[in-house]
Amino acid sequence: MSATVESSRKLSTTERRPSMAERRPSMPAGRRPSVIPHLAGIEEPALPTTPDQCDVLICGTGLVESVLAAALSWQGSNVLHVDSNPYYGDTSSTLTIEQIKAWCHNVNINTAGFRGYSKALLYIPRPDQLNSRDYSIDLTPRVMFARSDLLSLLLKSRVYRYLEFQSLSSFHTFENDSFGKMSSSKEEIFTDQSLSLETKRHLMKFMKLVLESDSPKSVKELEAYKTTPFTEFIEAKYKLTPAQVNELCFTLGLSPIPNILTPEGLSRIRRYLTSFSVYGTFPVLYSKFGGPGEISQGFCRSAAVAGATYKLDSQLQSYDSKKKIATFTDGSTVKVTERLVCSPSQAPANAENVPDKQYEITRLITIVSKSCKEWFSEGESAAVVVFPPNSLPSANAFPVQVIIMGSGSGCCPNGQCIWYLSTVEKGDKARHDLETALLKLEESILRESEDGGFDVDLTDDDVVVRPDGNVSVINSVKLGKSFKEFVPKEKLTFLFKLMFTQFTSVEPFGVVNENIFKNALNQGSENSVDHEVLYSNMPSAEVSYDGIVTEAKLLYTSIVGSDDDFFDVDFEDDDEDPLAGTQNDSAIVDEDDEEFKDEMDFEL
Amino acid sequence: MSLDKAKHIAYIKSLDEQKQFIEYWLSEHLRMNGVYWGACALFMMKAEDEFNKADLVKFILNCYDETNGGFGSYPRHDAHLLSTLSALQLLKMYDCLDVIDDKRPQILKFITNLQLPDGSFQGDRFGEVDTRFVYTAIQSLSILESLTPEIVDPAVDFIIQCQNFDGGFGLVPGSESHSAQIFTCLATLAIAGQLDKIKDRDLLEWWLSDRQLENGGLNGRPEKLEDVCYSWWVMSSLSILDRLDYIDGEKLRAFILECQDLEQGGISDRPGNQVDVYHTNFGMAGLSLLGYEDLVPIDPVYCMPYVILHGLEPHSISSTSLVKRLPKIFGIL
Amino acid sequence: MKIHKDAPKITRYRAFVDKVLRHKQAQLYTESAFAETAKLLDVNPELYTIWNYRRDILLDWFKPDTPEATHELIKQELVFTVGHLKRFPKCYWIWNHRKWCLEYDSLTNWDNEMVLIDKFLEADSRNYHVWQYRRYVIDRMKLAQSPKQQAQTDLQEFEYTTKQISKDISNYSALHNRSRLIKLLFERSPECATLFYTKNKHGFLVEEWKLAQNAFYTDPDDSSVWIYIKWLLGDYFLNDLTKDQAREVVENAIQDISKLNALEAEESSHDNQWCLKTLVFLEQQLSRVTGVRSEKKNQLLEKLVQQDTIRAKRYQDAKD
Repeated sequence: MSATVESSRKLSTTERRPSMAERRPSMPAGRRPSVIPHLAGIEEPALPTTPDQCDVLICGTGLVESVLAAALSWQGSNVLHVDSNPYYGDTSSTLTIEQIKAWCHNVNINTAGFRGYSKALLYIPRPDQLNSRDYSIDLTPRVMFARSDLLSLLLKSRVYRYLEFQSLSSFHTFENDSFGKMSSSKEEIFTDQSLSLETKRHLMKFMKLVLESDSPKSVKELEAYKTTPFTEFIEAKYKLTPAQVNELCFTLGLSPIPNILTPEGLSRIRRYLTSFSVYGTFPVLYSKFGGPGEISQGFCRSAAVAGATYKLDSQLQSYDSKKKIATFTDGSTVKVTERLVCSPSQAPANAENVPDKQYEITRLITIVSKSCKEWFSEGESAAVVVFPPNSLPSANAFPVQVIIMGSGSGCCPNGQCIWYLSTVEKGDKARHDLETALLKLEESILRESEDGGFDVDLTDDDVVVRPDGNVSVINSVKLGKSFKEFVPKEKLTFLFKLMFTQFTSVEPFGVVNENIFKNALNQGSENSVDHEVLYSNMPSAEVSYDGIVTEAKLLYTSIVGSDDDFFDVDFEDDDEDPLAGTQNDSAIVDEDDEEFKDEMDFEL
Repeated sequence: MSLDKAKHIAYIKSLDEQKQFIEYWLSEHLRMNGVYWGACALFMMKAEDEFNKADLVKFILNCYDETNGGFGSYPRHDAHLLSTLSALQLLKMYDCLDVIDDKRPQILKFITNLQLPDGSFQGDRFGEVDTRFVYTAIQSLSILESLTPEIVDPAVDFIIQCQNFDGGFGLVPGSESHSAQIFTCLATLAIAGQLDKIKDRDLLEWWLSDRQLENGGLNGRPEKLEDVCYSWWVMSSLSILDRLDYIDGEKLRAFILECQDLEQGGISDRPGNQVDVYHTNFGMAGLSLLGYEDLVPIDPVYCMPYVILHGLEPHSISSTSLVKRLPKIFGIL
Repeated sequence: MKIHKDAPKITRYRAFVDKVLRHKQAQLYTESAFAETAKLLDVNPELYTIWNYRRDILLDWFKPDTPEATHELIKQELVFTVGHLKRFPKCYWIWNHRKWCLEYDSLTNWDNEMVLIDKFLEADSRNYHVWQYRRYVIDRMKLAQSPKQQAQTDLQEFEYTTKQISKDISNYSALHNRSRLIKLLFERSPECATLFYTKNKHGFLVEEWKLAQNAFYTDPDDSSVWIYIKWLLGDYFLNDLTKDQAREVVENAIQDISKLNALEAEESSHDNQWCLKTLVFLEQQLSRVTGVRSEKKNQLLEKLVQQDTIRAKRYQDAKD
């Protein structure tokens, strides 16, 4: 290990975000204990010594590995969960600026523990203006659909209690050199004056088809379209415009690739529609103070409660599959009775069996000195922006997906905003597409936030009054023209810019295939340092959390044999008797059960 | 599929054997109504003797609230119009109204004192007004054969004010139409012999018949889910209007029968859900109104066996003509 | 298993109920007795007798007190009911208790009640109790207002229904309230007339038709708007229009709905039944306005007899 790495490691040890356990202690002051045992913390994760033995050793505290650790621990396995970094999250971590600096350095010198990334370019023009710890930057930003397996699991496992969720309802599409927002709910279709009555009818019919697409009748009907490209299917059957089709596929469906087939398209749009109005009039949520990093920590805490042991700063050096002994770089060893699971990023230095990483995701993360509230819905602090294929001057073959996080997300100071751009395009073309998209985002936000910026004559017909009373301009053609001639009065200040490429073996559709694990297990020579190590995957290109639980379950199955008892824990204590304490006048109702609902929405 | 009477009888009988379950004790506030629903269902299945009449009378008398003069839902609970009507219906059905002879003046006073100047009734002395309470008061007085025009006419005026733009009736003037409230209003008008006061009868009949959904079940309001209890609220209303054939009876029957629990007995709100005595009674009452399953015919106004009220089987008498006869039978006006 | 588990619960529950009822019987109106009612209602909010007891205690406490002191007591009681309503938003007794409280309070902040109502309707936009409560609160607010302010309030409520309908065109509860408010606004005294479409029913109808049209194009199978249309093109409006206006309005409506029905039929190869039903009604209205009987009504009814078989008898009866 070179001296530079040593120092950067050190830096990131002293310089860190407050951990979730610190921010949300397991036993808040003044709160009486619930009947249900509180999920305790992982306040003291760094053990001075490594235990002698464990059932399952998991290297890497990424999201999938953390869910797995918790599931195994609750099932009764003795889990040792380690991470080569001094912080939680691995490939899903949420980092401060200083931590990002160290991370880049490690990626570029290809340190063990940072495998799976390349070419990290960091640009911080005015370092003195950034207070490192004011920022929470996700390596793998994601948003969560309100109806999703991960959210169900968060509720069931009670991990949601460590987190704080916020809503996101703005999904913008870039077309005709401008941003549009599609009418995607019945409400929006009803009030959208830009749509003709007949288009309304077609759109509604399509929405209905999507919602009913799993009914036996529809399944039969749709059988004929199994191999039909999705765009062809909706254009022909529902007479929607190409722009509308783009919005459906790439913005609401968040498809990372073009040319998807009908069943995939339908299931993606269905995911959006069924999520809408589950907790309020928004389809997705995100966790405050950071995404996957926070959620990983939550599952780690849950695992700790169930008995898992945590150790940070521990890099796997080798695994002896015959003796079942894992050795770490500090010389300590542990006997693994069942299985060793390892994140590809934390593979041993001479690993031979790490899964192929044939897919690329290129990410561009920027912090701008602008609130960008123009893109958010009222009361919200985040938005999704999508550049469909071929919408950029760079003739992008793949969509560019953007997650915008404003200061309300707890990830950056007031008046600033983090933009996360990503694409599954490869190499330099990917970087060019992202830069081009960034330029368009910059133009757009300057335009929209500048007073009196409209030089176009808009008539009443060009403007839509939304149900909440906000006026939004919808004639994107007219606006697009004006966009091209637009010269901003000010320039946007970029405070931070990070570009890197991430590799993964998960194809860019977000669904993990069980073959990946089968292959992974069968590979490798018996003499390799990682023989019989079960590798998880680098994060997929999916910008939602879909696929996480599936992957965790697949890993779980390959260890336990089946996923029948995956998180088969019932925290609902049905022995709970509200009058149990009446004699001595203690409190009688556990209001904690209501907690999630209250935080989410005024649920009845 | 047909109605599994043996199972349903066993289910209703089992209800009083649930004392070892907490749920039994958490439903005291509904016990009087529950007993009435159970008894009514038993009557329809000609199994009323499955209830021990002496125990029943003892229970009812134990629920009498000396302070207020009406019946509560459970011993020591306060009197309320809802439980008072159930108590009177039970006594009427088991032909033992005489056991309350000594209490008649207090009961009458309890009920009539709850009428407000606008003709409406409050459920008890705490002021909740609802067309349900007008119905419970008027039917109670009718059972006690003590209706007078001074009470009925203002009540009818109040009911008429509750009619809406769609022809239906709500809980108080201005509130949204709801099938169950429509029943209470129509039945009150029927007891009063003043069904001719209804405006927009066409609108009302169409609104009611539109309650039937594709699956045969009925809902209580537009764009709501179907529920077995509306088999009574909607069908009794249509019956009072003499329009039972404005929905598909066979389809409704199939829906109700599908809500049976064929193992434990009882009927639920929707297929596959947990059964309860309320839905068991009202599902059955719907079937009875439609003349299915060889059930004892039920009176659409009083929700008691027709024969108990009128001493004869309805035969060919249509429900409208039946309704017209009611005031005479109960000696009002 | 459950029996074992329940046994101690039942013993505790019954002992507790017994204790509270004994206190009630003894007219014990102390703080601790009051606290016990809260405990019991937390477990079972349907115990109306216990709500009654609670009210009796409050009444006793109100007696010697100033309006301010009563207000403070009621404020706490309102907080108590909100907690219960969140858990049991459809429990009659709780809503009733809240109303009862407000009747004893001369210092109620009605705006707070409206905030609460908005939250509840956000959560369930068709909760019957909440709409009912909303109308009650509005009526109470209007008691202290001038006629002009009252009209303003009604107009705000009308706009609230627009908002609700925009959110969800199936919100029949909102359409119901809208019909009521429209009537109220049209029947206002002349001084308030200018507030509402200058009291011009024809102008209003033309505007309102656009809303209806948008709604039935968005979802032709949604019954709410069709029922509303029957009122909109019913006698309440048509009687105040000139004969020509009335004919034009009805004819346009027939045309719009027929167009939608054609679009639906083209794709699904059968008529939309709500279109047909509404057309029957409109043909009837047209005949009434023009005095000319049309054969169309019977043709439409015959189609309905064939297609909407569950209501066939009703259509038979409606034929001329």
